Amino acid sequence: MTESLPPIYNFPPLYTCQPNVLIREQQLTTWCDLLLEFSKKNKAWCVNQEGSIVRDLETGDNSIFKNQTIQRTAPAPFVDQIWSRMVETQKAVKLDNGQYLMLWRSLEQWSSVFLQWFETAGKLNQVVTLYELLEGDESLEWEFHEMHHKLCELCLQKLRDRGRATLLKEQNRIVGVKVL
Amino acid sequence: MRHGLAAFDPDGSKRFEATATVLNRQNRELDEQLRVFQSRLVAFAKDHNSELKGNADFRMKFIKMCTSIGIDPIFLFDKERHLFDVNDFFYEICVKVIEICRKTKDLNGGVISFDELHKGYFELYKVDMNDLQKAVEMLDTLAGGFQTFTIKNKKYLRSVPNELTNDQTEILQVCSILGYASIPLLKLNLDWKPVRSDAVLKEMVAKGILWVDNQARGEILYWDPAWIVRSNLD
Repeated sequence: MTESLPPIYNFPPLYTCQPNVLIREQQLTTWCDLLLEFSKKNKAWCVNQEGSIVRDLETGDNSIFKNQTIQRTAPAPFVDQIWSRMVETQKAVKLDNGQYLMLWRSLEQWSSVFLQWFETAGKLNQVVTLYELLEGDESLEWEFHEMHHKLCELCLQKLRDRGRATLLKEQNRIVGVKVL
Repeated sequence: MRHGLAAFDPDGSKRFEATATVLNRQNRELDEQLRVFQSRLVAFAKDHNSELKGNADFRMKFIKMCTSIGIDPIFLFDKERHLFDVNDFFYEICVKVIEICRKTKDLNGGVISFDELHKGYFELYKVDMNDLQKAVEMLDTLAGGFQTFTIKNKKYLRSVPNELTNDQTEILQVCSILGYASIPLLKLNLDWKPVRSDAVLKEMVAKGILWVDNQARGEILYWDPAWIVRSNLD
């Protein structure tokens, strides 16, 4: 899962919080890039604090912060720093359960992709369920297929804020959407 | 398969598909035209070489235009045919070298090997090692900003304006073997006292030349970032 990451991933000192401030900045940026690339390549919408991919209710064993090849592990306080940098730079959103939604595209970019789909699939001005949007055959070829529901909700809220969408809610969850 | 009400509306999707194919075709045609235009421009540069050489203003404008439609100036030069002024070719390399040095400065403390420059960047532009070295020599005129030095027959370029001391150079030499140095390693190889090694290593960390790794068994390792590229080449 981490095989295709750039060579810096196997650079041992990457796993030690660097004392030199300038280098540490560079180091944090590198970690953020690695996390995004890791999640994009594995299509991991959700990653937990420990750096493992979360799919449905299962959590993987492999953590990006543990590198078996070179026997190095990023220590927990440093991992905290990395995550807060991710959230600060809007590359991740922290969920209530402590897991993170990975934004290898920004919310704005994703909502534009959704708009594109509604236009190309001829779904404007009709109610589409979230299930149809994310799991249906018509979005099979699209990058957002099987996207995490929460992430999708955030994107649709962006569209609503721009006045492009009406959201259908049921027990506080978004279940459907109509794009104008 | 289509679900819900959409299933009753097959014509709509066909219309959209038709539009999509038209757009795709237009896209391809534009790409093609751009490519043709780019190759024509290069041909133009070859035909009007002498004018371009003679008229600096014309040359500047021409290069600017090429850059704006996505031709990297380096591709415009043809050494064999003395396209443009040959020096311009080297100036372009100089600019790239400076760009790369600035971009990687925080990562490597301003010390980069020629191998890394060449393998990582210039091979792409079909610039060979000799051209690269000649261009770097031209950087000397910038008086002190850039300096080359050799460690174990490998050439390095230093882009931050502070001299490496002898001790620091020796440590980089040790790093060029395994990627790292440590107090025991320096004792073994150079017979340095721990106090001396410690002081020089810490200073190099403070300058951003070395990275600390405290997860090795029993000793702290100090790594040279040049290792990132080197370990990947093997």
